[in-house]
Amino acid sequence: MKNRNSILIIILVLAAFLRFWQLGQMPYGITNDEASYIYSAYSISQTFKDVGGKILPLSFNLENPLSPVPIYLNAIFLRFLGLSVFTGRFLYALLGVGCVFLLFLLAKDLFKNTKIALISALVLAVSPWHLHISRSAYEAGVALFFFLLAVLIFIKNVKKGNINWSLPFFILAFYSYHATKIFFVFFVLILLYTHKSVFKRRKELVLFLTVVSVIIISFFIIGKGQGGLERGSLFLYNDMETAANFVDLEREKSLAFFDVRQIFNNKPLYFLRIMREKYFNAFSPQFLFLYGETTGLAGLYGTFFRGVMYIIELPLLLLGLFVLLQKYKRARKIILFSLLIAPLTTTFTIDTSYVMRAVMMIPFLCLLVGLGIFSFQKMVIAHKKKVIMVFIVWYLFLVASYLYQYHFRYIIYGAETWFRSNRELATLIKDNKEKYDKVEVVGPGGMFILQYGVFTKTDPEKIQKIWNEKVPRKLENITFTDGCLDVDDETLMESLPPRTLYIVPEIKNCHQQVVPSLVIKEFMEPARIIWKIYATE
Amino acid sequence: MNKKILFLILLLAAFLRLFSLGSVPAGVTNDEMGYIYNAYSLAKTGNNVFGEPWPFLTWIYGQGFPFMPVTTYFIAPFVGLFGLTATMARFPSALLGILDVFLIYALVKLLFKSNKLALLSSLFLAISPWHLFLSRTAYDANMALFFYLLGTTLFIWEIKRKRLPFFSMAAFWLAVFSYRGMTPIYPFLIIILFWYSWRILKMNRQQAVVLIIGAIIIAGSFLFIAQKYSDRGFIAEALPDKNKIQQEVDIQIRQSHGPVLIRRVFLNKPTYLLRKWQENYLGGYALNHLFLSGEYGNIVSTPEQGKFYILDLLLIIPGALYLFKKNRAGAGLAVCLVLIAGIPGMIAGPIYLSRNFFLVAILPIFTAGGILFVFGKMPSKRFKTALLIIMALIYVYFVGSFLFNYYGRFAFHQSENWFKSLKDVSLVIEQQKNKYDEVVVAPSSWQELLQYAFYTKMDPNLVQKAWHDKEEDALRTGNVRFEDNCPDQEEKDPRLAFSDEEEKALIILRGDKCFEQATPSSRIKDFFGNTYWRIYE
Repeated sequence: MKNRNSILIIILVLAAFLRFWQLGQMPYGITNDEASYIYSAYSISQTFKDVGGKILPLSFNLENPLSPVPIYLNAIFLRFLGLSVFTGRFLYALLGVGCVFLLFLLAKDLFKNTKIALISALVLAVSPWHLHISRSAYEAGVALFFFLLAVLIFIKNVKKGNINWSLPFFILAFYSYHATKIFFVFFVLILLYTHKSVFKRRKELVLFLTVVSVIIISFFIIGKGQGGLERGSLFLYNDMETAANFVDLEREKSLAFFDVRQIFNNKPLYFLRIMREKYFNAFSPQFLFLYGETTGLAGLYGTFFRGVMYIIELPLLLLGLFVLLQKYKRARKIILFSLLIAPLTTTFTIDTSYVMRAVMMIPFLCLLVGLGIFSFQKMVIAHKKKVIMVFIVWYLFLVASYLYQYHFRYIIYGAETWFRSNRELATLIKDNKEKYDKVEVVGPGGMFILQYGVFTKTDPEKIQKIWNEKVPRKLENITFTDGCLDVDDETLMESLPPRTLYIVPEIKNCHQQVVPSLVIKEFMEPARIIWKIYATE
Repeated sequence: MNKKILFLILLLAAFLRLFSLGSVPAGVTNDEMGYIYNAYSLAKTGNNVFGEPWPFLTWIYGQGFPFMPVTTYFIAPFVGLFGLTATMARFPSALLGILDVFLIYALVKLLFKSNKLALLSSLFLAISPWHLFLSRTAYDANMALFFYLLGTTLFIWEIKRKRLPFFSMAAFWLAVFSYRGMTPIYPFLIIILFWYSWRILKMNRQQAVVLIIGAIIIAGSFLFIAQKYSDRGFIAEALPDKNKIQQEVDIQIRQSHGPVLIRRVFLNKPTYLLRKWQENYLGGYALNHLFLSGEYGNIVSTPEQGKFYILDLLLIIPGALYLFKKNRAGAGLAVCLVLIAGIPGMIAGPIYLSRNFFLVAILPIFTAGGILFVFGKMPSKRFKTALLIIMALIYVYFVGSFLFNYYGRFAFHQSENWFKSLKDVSLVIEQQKNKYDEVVVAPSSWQELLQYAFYTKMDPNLVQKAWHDKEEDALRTGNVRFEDNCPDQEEKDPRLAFSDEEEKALIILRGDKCFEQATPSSRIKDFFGNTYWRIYE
């Protein structure tokens, strides 16, 4: 037992190391969503107001509506740790380590086997999917943590105790991430279905269901009052025009009788087909083991050319599934049903994102792989220790290969996806603004102000003051504008006031004939210019 | 009763494979033509299209893409005796497709001793979109599948009956020389069959010796042919492009951080190739093309249609459970056959339609098992009847949907991928050539001449002569010239370029490659109205 505790500690240390090592440097930049979450939390921690100046809101609405739990939780950390990229991501990495521990407890409860629990925890500790989301300030990891905590408390209280102890954590999970709200609805039903004994405790069950209903209804009330329902526009049914056009085209380009065309080409079937593809793609070997996310924000949600699981885990997953279907009746229902509902959100939306929206697949996949490894070593250990050695070496190579790709390659080719140049620019402005009377930044977009705030630890009150202003926005001696100066290239330098730092993004195609004083380039070949900086003395 | 049901299934299989066989697919591809016209030429003259007498391999491109002997010589008597038509050319393939349905019945019965499972497996193969699709073409993979199934079934039967496996070895030889994609499967198939028959069927030593000697003879004859024809592209698809790999690896190494030694550990040619194989192999089992939207590329699939039905996907895992419960060793064998089916696709990459075709016959066994598994879980006969009706209705709808797609859409939408316009061109030439002194088809090649020869049932001696008398940039048969390039475009109108007062010419130009400004006398268009050929009289 002592030995097993030591192994668990080693796994947690490993999980922590993989999540915290170079956390502020890799990914080097921060995305707009991360900046929103981190700076909103900082703003709350310092002023009790969000970036827009609202006092302790329940719904944060910047470019996208943000979930409140990660922000308030992070605010506590930032209050004590101060603001930096590292501290901004600290909570998320910490909860990532917490997930490893919770999965250990969950697996132990489901399989009644410490070995499987340890292996499952180890699989999660080194999981590329989980590592990727734990090392960024995205809310999916927070929701995952609270869902695991809630389900664990629920399961622990099924036989004796009260399942309603899980409710606070379900509330936290629900308000951690918009995309897992659909999962929540089905997940609660699954938990009740798989633990029918709670149906005998009527009062407890009624309270549980009442609170669950209140949680769901409260979202709509808060959303309506404070905003936050905008994400509903992402649902497939809002794209009726595309569906109609597609069906019309299908019917037009067919030679069958019109009635037959209507049977096989219609909008419900069109939506079903789209949903079917989105749903099953979440389980495809291409997503899981080969390429990871390939559409939308693929560069952000993965390291490219790599699955979200290791290739060696494919046979182990199948073996785990096979064993699960034959044994572990209770675990089987919970794991399989949960796995089946996990990708539902992305099934119903117009755009596709499995890494974030199907985040709840992670623990259940890890449990299956854990069970697969356990079964595999049981199968072969009697005969061949060499097989185990080969297996371990191969696994280690794959983990090392992932870490190499993440820390040594992704940092280069994924740099601009994470707005590396914005970090460089913010740092440059911070280091130089005192030397100039005026700094003018053209077209950085509203979210750059938050990134700037994170990198330079700007006082939230200053940001709140300019957040709702129209451009040009003024922050100290820095002006954020939309358009380039309307002057000829030949006279640009003369028309700039003395001691001015004038910063233009290359993408605007301004002042092409004027050689800038300094440029910020992208990290990778062909090293295109991102920002041009003109300085006058 | 069972025999009657089997007969009905075979009847259904025959109907689905033979109905409109000559007109859907709408044309004949060059890959089909390589078999069909060579077979016709051999049947009529004893020479292939190049005039080589009774060759082992045939070609239509001169170098590369050899046409395998078993397929060619199998088609020869059909087109030789019953005439050169698309129906007759595809008939052998369709016939073997129907026999596949019987063979899978026999194989499943041998392995699992279950009539129900065998009948359901044959039914699912009979209605399989993938199997239907290739059975209705003159592609070689379908031919190889038949001999593969025949060899496997015969082998198990021979071993069980304590007979020496001569017939099965002969069938495997035919399979290997039907289709090159069979070759990489072959050694694994022999190992699996050896394991199964040694461990499970208690094969005797004499049988084992025949199996080993047979396997060596087949491998030896293949290696001999591969060596003999290595300069004619016999194994071209299997060889990796070393230069390309080196270039890719160099780029990856250049664009990463870290010590060079570490870079080389993770980025090198073996890991690159392994990764490629891994991608190709798993690509062969991608849910997307197997069950959802089909394979990319119009020639290889019907629109929005997987190679299997979506419901098959849901039945595969329960099916595996059922099979393992029924007969562990038999199920193990089936799983192994599924796993080795992806090897040709792994080595050569897509197109999986033909390369991984051996999967088509094995997965229906799992689907059938899935149905029986679900039925076994039904609590009463009433539930079973209800389920039977629901399942039957769903499958009827799915099959109807596939047939609608295949006959109502694919036949017309993708007709040009099957060179339908060349059929139209050939018929125009046949009708008009006597009215003109010369007919010019440009730009065109040997393939266009073969298409013309096929649709006009040209004497193979004339085709061989055309090849023999080939001019530097044109092929001629009678008054029809197939020119490699666009005619001289000094004149603005091809009529002026070709005709003079004494000569009348019919000029048929491809697409808009030459004389794009000149208005043609008529056009040959596809279903969507795109012009493929312009005719100038």
